[in-house]
Amino acid sequence: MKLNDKIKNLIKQKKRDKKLSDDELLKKQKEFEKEAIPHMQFLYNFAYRMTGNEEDAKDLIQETYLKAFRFWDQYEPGTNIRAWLFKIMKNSYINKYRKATKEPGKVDYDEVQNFYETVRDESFETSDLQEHIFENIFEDEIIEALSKLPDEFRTVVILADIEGQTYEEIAKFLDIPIGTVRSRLHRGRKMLRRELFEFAKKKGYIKGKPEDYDIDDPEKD
Amino acid sequence: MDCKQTREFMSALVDNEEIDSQTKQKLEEHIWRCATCRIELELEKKTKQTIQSKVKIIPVPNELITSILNQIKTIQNGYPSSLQKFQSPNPAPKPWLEAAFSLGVVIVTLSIAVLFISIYEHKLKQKDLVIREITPLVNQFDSIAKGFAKPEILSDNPEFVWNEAVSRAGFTPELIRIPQFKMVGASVKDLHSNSKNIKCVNLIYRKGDTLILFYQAPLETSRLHEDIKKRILKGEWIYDEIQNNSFAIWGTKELACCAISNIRKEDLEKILKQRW
Repeated sequence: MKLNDKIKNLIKQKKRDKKLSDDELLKKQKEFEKEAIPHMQFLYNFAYRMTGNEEDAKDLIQETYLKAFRFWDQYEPGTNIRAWLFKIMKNSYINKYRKATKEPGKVDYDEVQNFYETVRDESFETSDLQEHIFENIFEDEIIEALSKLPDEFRTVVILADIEGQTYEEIAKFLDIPIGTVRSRLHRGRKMLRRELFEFAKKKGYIKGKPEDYDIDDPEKD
Repeated sequence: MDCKQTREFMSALVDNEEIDSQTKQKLEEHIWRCATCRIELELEKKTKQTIQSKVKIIPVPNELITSILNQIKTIQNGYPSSLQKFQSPNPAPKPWLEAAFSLGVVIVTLSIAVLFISIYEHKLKQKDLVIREITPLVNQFDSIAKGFAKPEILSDNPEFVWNEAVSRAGFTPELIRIPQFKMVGASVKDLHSNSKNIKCVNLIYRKGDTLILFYQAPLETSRLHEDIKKRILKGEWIYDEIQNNSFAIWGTKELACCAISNIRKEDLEKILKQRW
């Protein structure tokens, strides 16, 4: 959308807002509270896991809800409100955090491509040890490992494994095909596992020569 | 189906997501044969379970909900709802406050009124004072103008009039020439009953029907009221009208001067301004 159109839309929006009577305003407010507020738990949890702290999560949710209220008449009743809210939040998140980090996804994506070429890198031996790491892992270690994932992989892991969303829902939230959800989730989980394995090695949960556990080195092939 | 293709569907197997039956069958066949993919599937299941079981859902802070709802109300109303609440239970100011306010207004109004009245009174007093001072002179002028009285010195020769006036005055009056007017007479009178030497000089000028009486007296000894003396010493010219006659009072350093005429105040002012 061109900037001019956007401005025109905003002016229209304002004019429409002004025409609303007090009753209509109250109705709008009640409707918004009834429809949008119940999804705050889901969005807040996601925001918290994406930003990694309460303050940023609160800011993000606040911004999302105020934007949503402002553009409430653009929401079509009966459609997927959670996806609508999620998209608003995603845009806010991108605006806020994408600029701060130096395109983290790009570098990691190449890595992931390499990693996909590598499928014959695991043995029975290492897998036994890998299973061992899951028993000793703590929540904050998972959170930290999660924070190291590029946004697009982190997003699907949070949505699927923490928030329990279906692939169809995730596809709607992110505007991507279900096939992409599937592959991103697989890669995301694998990257997370590798991070956890690194923790375990550093902390000495796993003993033995490092190369024994070097299950997933993209440089290998 | 190879390992790479199998990995593309691995998460769907872990999550029990829908896969078309043909693909699912091929996947299962591959995994049954391929140990690596079998392990990979197990590890992914474990990974998912670990995340699910260890990462908690964070509840929304109540204050966040409250804050958002309040902000929405603010956007709706254009001002904070807290402000509304504050205003509604106390719509009228307290009675004593109202009384105090009214009293204040009354006091201010009264004091302004008093100030105006005193200024007006002062002006009125001043005007009265001037008129009281000038009335004898105006009466004198009137009687001369109407022919009831004649000045002591009367001549067609202005020089003679002037010389006579100066010789009788006992002080040095100012010789004033008014354009187009001719000095036709003069009277010199005692300023006080007890002062024989110092007198005042009235010069009479004429142009057709217009007469101007020009009074001069030493400022120090003149009978003028102190207030008027102060005013003319500041350089003020007092113009006014009385009984169809106009007059002007002003001062020089030594002399108090008066002009009385049967023309309008404005015309008198014009004539005098030509001279000074």
